[in-house]
Amino acid sequence: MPVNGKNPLKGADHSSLSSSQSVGDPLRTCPGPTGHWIKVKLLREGDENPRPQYWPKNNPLPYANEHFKASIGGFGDNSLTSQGYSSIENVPAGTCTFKFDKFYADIDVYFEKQLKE
Amino acid sequence: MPENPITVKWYEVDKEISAKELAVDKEHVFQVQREAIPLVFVPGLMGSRLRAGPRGKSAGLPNKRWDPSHPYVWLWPKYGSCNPAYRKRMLIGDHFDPGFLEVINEKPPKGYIGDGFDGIMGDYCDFLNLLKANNWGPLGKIFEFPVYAVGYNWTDDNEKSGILLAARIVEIIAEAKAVTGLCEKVILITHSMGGLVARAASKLSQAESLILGIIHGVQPATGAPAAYWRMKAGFEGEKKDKTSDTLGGSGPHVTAIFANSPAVLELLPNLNYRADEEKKEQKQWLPVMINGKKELLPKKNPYLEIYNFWAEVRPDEGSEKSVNKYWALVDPALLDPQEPNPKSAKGAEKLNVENPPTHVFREYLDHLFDAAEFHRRLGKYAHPKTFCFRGTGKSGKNQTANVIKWELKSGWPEKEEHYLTRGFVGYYRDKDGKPMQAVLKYPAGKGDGTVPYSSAGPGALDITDKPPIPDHAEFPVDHQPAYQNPDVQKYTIKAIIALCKCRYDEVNPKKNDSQATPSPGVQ
Repeated sequence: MPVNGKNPLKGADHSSLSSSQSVGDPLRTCPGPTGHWIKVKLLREGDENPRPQYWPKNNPLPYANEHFKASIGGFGDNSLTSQGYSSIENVPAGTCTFKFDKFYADIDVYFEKQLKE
Repeated sequence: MPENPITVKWYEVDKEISAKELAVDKEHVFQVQREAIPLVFVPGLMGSRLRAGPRGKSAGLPNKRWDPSHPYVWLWPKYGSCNPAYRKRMLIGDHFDPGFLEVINEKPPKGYIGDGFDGIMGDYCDFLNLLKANNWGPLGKIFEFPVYAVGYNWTDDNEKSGILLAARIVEIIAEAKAVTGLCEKVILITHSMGGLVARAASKLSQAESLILGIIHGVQPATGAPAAYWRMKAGFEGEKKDKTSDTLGGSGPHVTAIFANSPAVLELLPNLNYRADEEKKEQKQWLPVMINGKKELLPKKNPYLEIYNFWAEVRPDEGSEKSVNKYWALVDPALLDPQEPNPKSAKGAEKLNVENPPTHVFREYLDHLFDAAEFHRRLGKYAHPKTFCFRGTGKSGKNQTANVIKWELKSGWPEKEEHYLTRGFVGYYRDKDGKPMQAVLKYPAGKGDGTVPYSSAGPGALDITDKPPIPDHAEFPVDHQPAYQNPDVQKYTIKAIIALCKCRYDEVNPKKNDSQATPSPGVQ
């Protein structure tokens, strides 16, 4: 299951994977190809109307390397690419959730540093 | 196929996205809606570029009336050696009219309101361009900081300028919201008298809820005796001082404009002025001789004890100990100077000493009492989130008029002269009837050269949000170029970041624990 070009299962402990998994457990990655995938992008919203020329130039860059957690069992923590997306293959059918749990972390650090110096 | 993009407000990124069940075999795009927090600069006295307004056009006068952006090629040639009558024709007209002048603003691009930079002095724009280019670090993930300037007619009443500023704030927020989708408040950054305009907008025009916070720089919150000094003696300066000559090198040059400008009368020391912020009970700043005795004024109210009297620079003939108030603010002969040749800007002006125009003095009194009422209504109001900094002068020397001082000399010279270049001498008779001179001494108090230390400090305002660290600072800067100083710029940026933290804490549900206004730190 390549994720952003890397195999997160490489070297992982697979002994917990069992066919006796109970109902209600979070999605878990499958050991083989499932044919299912999911892609998530996090971007700055573009201008709703053209911005005035006297405004700073728009910075449409994606949110690069944002940390997230996905409810795909065994997937663990990961980060978006420098282009602001995550593409995960071989996921189980159904739905999952993404949580950008550290979105504000660098902002908090910035405030603390700037306002204490 | 990608799903339709989902817009998520910046303060709900974590909450909103994690609450959604995302179907597999799809591309999900989340767009973070950032919030615009416009930074709006309000300049000080003489800091806006002005031209003839709808009722100011006059044959023989240029359309442009005040342009500090081009001192060498325009301001100095126009005002450096002109007489008081010409000044008054350029900036006031026959008598004050709010429609006489307007801000020079180029037509903005169609569909936009313009950033207002062309309406203010060019020196300010260096700092504003720095703000525009500033790297806000990770704040750029959630905020955007467009920069605007709001010039105004600095001769008109500051409450009226506050009304215009409040209206402009509404326009700026609407323009910002049209771009980013999210804008609720602005941050005001003020210089000098711009602070009065901003506070008037916030309190008297009820724009407080549209303002995230205000950063005041060198604001004469309780007034400045320099306004008195300059109306008596002209702007301070060296012997041949182009800047002083341009701004008004003598009492007649300055009074012709200042005494006829409602806004400038609002810069006089008001009821809250204290020369020494440690001595809150001591209101006096003007020693005078009355009936041969030394008195300290004001005892209670400068508007009724100093500013409302008709200044008489010498006693009547034959009087013994004199009662002439040489120290009163306005000599009515200076309110409406006449030109011997209206077409000429140079040449000696004729002071109308024989028949002082009483109707002109009555107009002055109307504006004076409007100024008193303005300060009665504004009080020491400060926006709940206020930062302020004051200057202590670049040279390190005390050269600010925090009090007025006189040198008393006996006798009157053969050649009578009261209004010198950068000086004033009042005549009176002492208790024994002997002729005496009161020579106005050069300022020597603590401050930035114009605004005394006490008037620009936190004690001059009722700042309600009191963090553990004082939200004020001081810098060794002179008054006009204050924002050119790198440390001032750093402080201002820090204050902006501190105000962003307030907004961040206000709407970010994870951060509601913090209630105090963070401070950029003591300098």
